[in-house]
Amino acid sequence: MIKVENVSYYYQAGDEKRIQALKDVDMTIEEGEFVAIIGHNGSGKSTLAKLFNGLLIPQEGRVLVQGQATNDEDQYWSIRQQVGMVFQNPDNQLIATVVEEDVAFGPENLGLPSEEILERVEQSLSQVDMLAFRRHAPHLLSGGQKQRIAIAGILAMRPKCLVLDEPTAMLDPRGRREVLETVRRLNREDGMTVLWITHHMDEAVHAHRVLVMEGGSVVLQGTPRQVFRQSQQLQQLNLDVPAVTRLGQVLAQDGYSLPQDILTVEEMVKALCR
Amino acid sequence: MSITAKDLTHTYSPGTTWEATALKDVNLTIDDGEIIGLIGHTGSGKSTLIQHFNGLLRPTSGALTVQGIEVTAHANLRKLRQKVGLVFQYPEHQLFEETVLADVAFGPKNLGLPQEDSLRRAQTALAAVGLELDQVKDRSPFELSGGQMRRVAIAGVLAMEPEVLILDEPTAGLDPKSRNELMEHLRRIHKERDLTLVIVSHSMEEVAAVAHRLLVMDKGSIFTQGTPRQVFSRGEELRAIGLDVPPLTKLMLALQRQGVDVATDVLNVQEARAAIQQWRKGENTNV
Repeated sequence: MIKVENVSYYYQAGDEKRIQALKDVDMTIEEGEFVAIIGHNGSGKSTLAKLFNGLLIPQEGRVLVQGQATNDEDQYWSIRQQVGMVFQNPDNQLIATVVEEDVAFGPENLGLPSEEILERVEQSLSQVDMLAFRRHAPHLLSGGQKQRIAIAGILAMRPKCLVLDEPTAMLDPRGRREVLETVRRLNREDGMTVLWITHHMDEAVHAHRVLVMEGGSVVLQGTPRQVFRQSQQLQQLNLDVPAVTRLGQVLAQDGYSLPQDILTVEEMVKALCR
Repeated sequence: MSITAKDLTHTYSPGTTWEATALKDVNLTIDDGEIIGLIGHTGSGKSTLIQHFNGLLRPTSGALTVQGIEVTAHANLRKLRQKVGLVFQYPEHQLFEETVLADVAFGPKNLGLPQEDSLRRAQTALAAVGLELDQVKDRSPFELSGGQMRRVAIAGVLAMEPEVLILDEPTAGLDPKSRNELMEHLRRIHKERDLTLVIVSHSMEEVAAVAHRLLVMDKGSIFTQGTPRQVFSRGEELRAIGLDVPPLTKLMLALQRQGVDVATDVLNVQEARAAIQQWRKGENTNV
């Protein structure tokens, strides 16, 4: 789906004081994958996210979306239609005063016939479970609902891949759950490729693959189990391990025979009550 | 007594079709020098409540006294707001000056303090939030990282030298490292300045580590209150009102449902470890 080939990115590239945000990043995102990207602030996560749909063009290396290079100007629109982005703050992403008009904005801009727009709006809103709110005013919705509307607006463009840059950072626990569940369902049921950038390790646990960024490079990657086993390395990177995983690790030090890669409460209960 | 509320009720837009009761008969007492964690999901009334504490809102009915001042339409709001500093959500959006030092000194300068005193207060406040004065004071606040901007904004309120400091979700949107650092700074500020601290948060784990007492709000009322330990032990009820109980509390509750006799009021990994060891020891002696 997406190939990142030997990419480096600099801010203020022409300047002597240029800042290197990404360093020789190589990765492949497969179709239908759910990939979580973690790393603390300044590790290069958000820069990487903006490369996936050509919002930023790397100065070195290249990014391919379905084989099309993002630095090819002729492909801009096609790439942005295929890879949709959702940002942290839902308030900055909603523009209309009625939910369905907001969702229709993208397809309207594509110049689609109105029946098709209507169909896309309805489908997108049901995909995020917000169809009942189609005539509501977005500003009166909760944070989680707003973020789901923002996602519906992207879905109406019929993308193949969603890139979400800390989509839950401004939400309360209920909103976080709503948004995470919505996106997991899109991945599971509709085969949507998902790149999920987060600080919350409990969210990364649900990914197929976790990439850990530090200093502009991918320093660790693997399944959540493989990654969260490396608790020492993660701690050195100032990242947390999910609390349940950490508990499993300290109990193992006490001589309990527990798997070292427990990720969820359910797994821990099973392991302890064997 | 720092803050006392008696049957505090607040209704937005009374008498209109938009009438909404955000607070209903809230009774609470916050002592001088306490650290309070105020918890509740969105819409539970937390923000409405704290806006009463510095007189941005006034009770529709009931009574509220803050640092000896009764919060009514006739209260001396200027005096109240000097005593009670309120840090809003995403306070970094309110930075505006050309340099960090000028931004932090703005408040005290506005109080009419001489330039020298304002700058001295600003410097002390920046140090209190862990910023290196020489590195930041002449920079534009907008060049700083998100975590640093947040701390500059908090310093701006600290420079007013409030007796009560209220922060609305101070760690929202920060990464784990900045979150921990900020909580650590708040803990130290509380100790050094001996002020009353009210921290509003979605994250029970986070406030539990620093708070003496938690107040949990639901539907405009105080749902429960107590030490973090007491509140955590009521995990099932908290889940029922839509709060996210910490994963370790969830684990202990799940073990209990499996018939295991285990403490559910654990606050961190070490306590969970101890609880599980105790349970296992008990089992071995039974056999």
